[in-house]
Amino acid sequence: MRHPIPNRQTNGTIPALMIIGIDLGTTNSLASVFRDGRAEIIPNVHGEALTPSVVGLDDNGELLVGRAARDRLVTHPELTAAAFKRYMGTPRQLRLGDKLFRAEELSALVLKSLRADAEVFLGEPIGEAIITVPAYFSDAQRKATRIAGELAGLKVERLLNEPTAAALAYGLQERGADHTFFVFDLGGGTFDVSLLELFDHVMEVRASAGNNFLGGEDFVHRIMDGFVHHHDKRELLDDPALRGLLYASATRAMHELTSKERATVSIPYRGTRLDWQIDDLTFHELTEPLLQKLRAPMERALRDAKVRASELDDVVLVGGASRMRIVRELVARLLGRIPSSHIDPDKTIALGAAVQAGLKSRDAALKDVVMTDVCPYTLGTSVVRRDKHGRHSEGHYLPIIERNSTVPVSRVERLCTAYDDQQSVLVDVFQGESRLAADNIRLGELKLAVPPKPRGEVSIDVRFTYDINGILEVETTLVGTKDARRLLIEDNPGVLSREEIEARFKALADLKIHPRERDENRGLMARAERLYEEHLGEVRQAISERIQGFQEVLDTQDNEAVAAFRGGFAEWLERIETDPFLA
Amino acid sequence: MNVWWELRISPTSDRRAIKRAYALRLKEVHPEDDPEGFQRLREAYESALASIDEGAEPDVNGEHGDQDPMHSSPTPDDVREDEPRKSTVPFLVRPFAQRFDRGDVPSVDPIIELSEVYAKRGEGAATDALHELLTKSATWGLDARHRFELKLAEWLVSFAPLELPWSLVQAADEGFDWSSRLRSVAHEHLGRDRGYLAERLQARASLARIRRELRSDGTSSKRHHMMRLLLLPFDGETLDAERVKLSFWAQATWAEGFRSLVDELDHDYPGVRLYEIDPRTVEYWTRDPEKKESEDLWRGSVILGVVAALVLMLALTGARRLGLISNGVRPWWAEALWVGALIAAGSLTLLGQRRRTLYGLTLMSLSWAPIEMVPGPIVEGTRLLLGFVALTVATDFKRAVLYVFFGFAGSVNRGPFPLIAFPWAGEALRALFRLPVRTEPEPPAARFWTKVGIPALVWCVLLAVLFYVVRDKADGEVRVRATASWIMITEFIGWVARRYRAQRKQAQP
Repeated sequence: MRHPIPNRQTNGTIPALMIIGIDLGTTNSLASVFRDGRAEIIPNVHGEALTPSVVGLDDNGELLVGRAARDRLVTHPELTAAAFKRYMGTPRQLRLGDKLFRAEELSALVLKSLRADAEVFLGEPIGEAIITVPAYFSDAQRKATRIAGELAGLKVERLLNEPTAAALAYGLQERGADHTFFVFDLGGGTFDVSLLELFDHVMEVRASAGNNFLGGEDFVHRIMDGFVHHHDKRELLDDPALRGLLYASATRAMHELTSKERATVSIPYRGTRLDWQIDDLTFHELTEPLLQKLRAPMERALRDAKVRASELDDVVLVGGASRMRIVRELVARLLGRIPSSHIDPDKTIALGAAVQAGLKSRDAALKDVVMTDVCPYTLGTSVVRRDKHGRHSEGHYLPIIERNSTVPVSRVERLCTAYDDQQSVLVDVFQGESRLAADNIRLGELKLAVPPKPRGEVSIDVRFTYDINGILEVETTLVGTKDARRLLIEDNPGVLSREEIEARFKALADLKIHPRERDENRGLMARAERLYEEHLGEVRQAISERIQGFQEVLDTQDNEAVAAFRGGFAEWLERIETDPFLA
Repeated sequence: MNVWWELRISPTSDRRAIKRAYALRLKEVHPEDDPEGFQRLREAYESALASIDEGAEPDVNGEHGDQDPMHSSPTPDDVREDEPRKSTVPFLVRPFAQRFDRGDVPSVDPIIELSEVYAKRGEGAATDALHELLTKSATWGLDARHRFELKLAEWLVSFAPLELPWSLVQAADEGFDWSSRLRSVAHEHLGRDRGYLAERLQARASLARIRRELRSDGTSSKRHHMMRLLLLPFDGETLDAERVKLSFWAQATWAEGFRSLVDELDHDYPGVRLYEIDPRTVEYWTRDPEKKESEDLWRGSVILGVVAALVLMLALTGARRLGLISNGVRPWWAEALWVGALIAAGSLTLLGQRRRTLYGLTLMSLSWAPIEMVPGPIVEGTRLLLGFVALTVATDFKRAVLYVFFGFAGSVNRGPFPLIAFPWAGEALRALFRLPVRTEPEPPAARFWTKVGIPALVWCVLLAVLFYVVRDKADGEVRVRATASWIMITEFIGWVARRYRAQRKQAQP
């Protein structure tokens, strides 16, 4: 079997270009590196670990990435895009002003920014990255992530599942011991659970399950809906500006609820403020259906791994949304123990990605460790069944790779023609667990011409190969010949073709990105503008005056003066932001 | 592929040793470098582990020997305390221990309670109780919920197939999503009764499909009618009543028809026959209704009847010859005898199977020839009636109506232009309704063929047409065609014979 990843000869040397780890999240993204025997987070140019996964267009038509863009979500919602990870693997395009972008391109912009910041921090060029993806990401979504890396000029040879990354981050401390982990990863947009076993320096994923449409964002939306319902004003959701304000306030309230009993959602509306105070109980009621959805993947992972909750050694919470108290309680109740989160849940995945980067570059510190992962869903094809009366029924699902098979895995099934004198065989590829093929997700199809013969006399071998990155390759061979066809699942509309990638790469290179040196000022201005929108009355007045002052200083182009003003301005805005009386 | 060679250890059932061996080999066969080698290693590892599991029974009771698994709910004492180096949890304000609510996990085994409710208050109340339990279980620990699922499955499996309280299974299915996990439900839960519940669920799904088909079937085809009959609960009276409704011919071949339908059901709707249809009903419909003794009885009475008819015929002919009775005079006792014979023949055909039908109809056909010697409206009317009856029970009402229609049409238009002519029917009718008998001069012998030959040809064509119309395509119904054609052929022969005789009579002064 020919495998796309070439054999590598290890000789203990570190490759010329550094490999970094990247957690490309729905809400935030991080970069990390493995050096000096440990994983560490690479701070961005502002000195922060988290870079919001938000891309915006400023008034000059230049692109903004990160915090500056996120602040503009409130002030310029039609020029800013966020949470585009949810559209990876789909042909959906998002509009920024007069330009349309695919999710891969927006992700590529975020990756570019992370890469640039990493190169500054490490002082050397970066050529390759390990990017994490939700364990439950489909083939199309994984390919889109790789393409995003390519568009950012990064080689992405390896994709890492997020819960596995979390386990790596935790597991490294448990050397020598046998340990069973349960990773509960609730991110901004996706939910994954994985059950892993660590023994003799082997980190083995036993089972994976999840939900690609459940995340922290959904909890925020529930708060927003509750607010709208409470005030009975549907227009709050229709108006993009108001919606942006509501989103920001709801997110903040949700964060507060992790440590406080009560939180207030508040937005300015037609010259006055609309408030709503929520407590733990209300939040629990609002999000009850979401909490219900959390249970099923957890049960399934335990069942598939044939492990009981009481046998787990550790339950690890990962992902910003796992900070929520109601989530932690639910997990504790369901699994019968207090979960660990002594590594910052926001950073765990990125740290794990760094470990994998270290493993890949055969860092001496990790030479003992081997990691294996699994395929989280069953892959198969549709077949025709024939009965003794000669009647046939189509559309049955034949699994070829069962879920939770350790990867890389390759399995072959021999099938024969169903009808007399068939000229070709259509092998379609499905992902899912239903017994009827039509109820599963279709990934693509492959046609193979066959000689016309009575049914049953022509056989084909169908081989499914699921590689270590979770990319599926299908090969069909006519038995008795060397005639084979390979599928690259190109006709999936969610995935770009080679030519399209080339074209978009060029297009992105031509885009003007806002220069990094001015980024800080731009960010500060965006923040000030957002706070202007969020406040009223005297405070608003004061902000307006300061903005004016800042603008004047910027016009002088005197870098020192600008820096001086910036420091004081930033502090002042920080106070406004966090002052409980003004929230 | 030698499993133990791949792992580089000697065969063992020590799980730990196998894992250690796999871990060591994994350092040499790295999945990133050598995917094919890794796959072989992995298969070997999984086979080795599986070979240990083969001997072991699935741990049906959940806890290792724990007598009352339901009590193992998360308590503040059981919860693992964080070890000192992990105790810094900046995100929590209050320790979780305080917030664990013991109240939601029941202290009494819920399955015991459920079975009591079922025994005392029936299926409906038990289903409601189960729904409540399922809703509450959403907040239980996953292990507790798993044990609950297992015990529920065991309890349901303990019912006999046809007594399974289906609404409970459905509620359980909704709560635990068994139907989408049929394979794994069987594998995980049910130990020796592997697959039973899964099959049961599948059977019920098949039954639902059948019912939907039957509901939507507007034309009430024969197959669907038979399926409805199979689904009836076993109740001697109801089934007998249904059987009587069946047309005679369906009865004649019903056993075979039902047998082949049952085979098809096994294939198209798996599990239905095993779990959803009362086997006694199946037995009732698929057994051959006749017994050997009555067959002999029947044969005997037919032979007797035929002999009696022939004897009577000879006697009457002889009597006429001898001048004891004159032509045209119909002794009442002769008529009575004929009617009696015909009634006997007809009623015997009512009672029997295919062969009886043939016997009976043969007898009737034979009897038509002698009728010529003892013509009379009563006899002929009776013959018409019996023919009608025989055809009804032999095939069905529709065809009998056709028979009568053609008979009337022919008789009304008696003579050289038959549709399908049953001349005697016409006479009988006329007699019954006191219509004037239309007598026309018999055609001379010379015109026999124009009067007989061509009509005969026409008859053949129309016979073929009728034959085509009354044919029935399904397997096992070929005999209907045979019967219908048998009747028509004998009628035809009789008609030709009569005509010929009439010509001859004419020719001879």
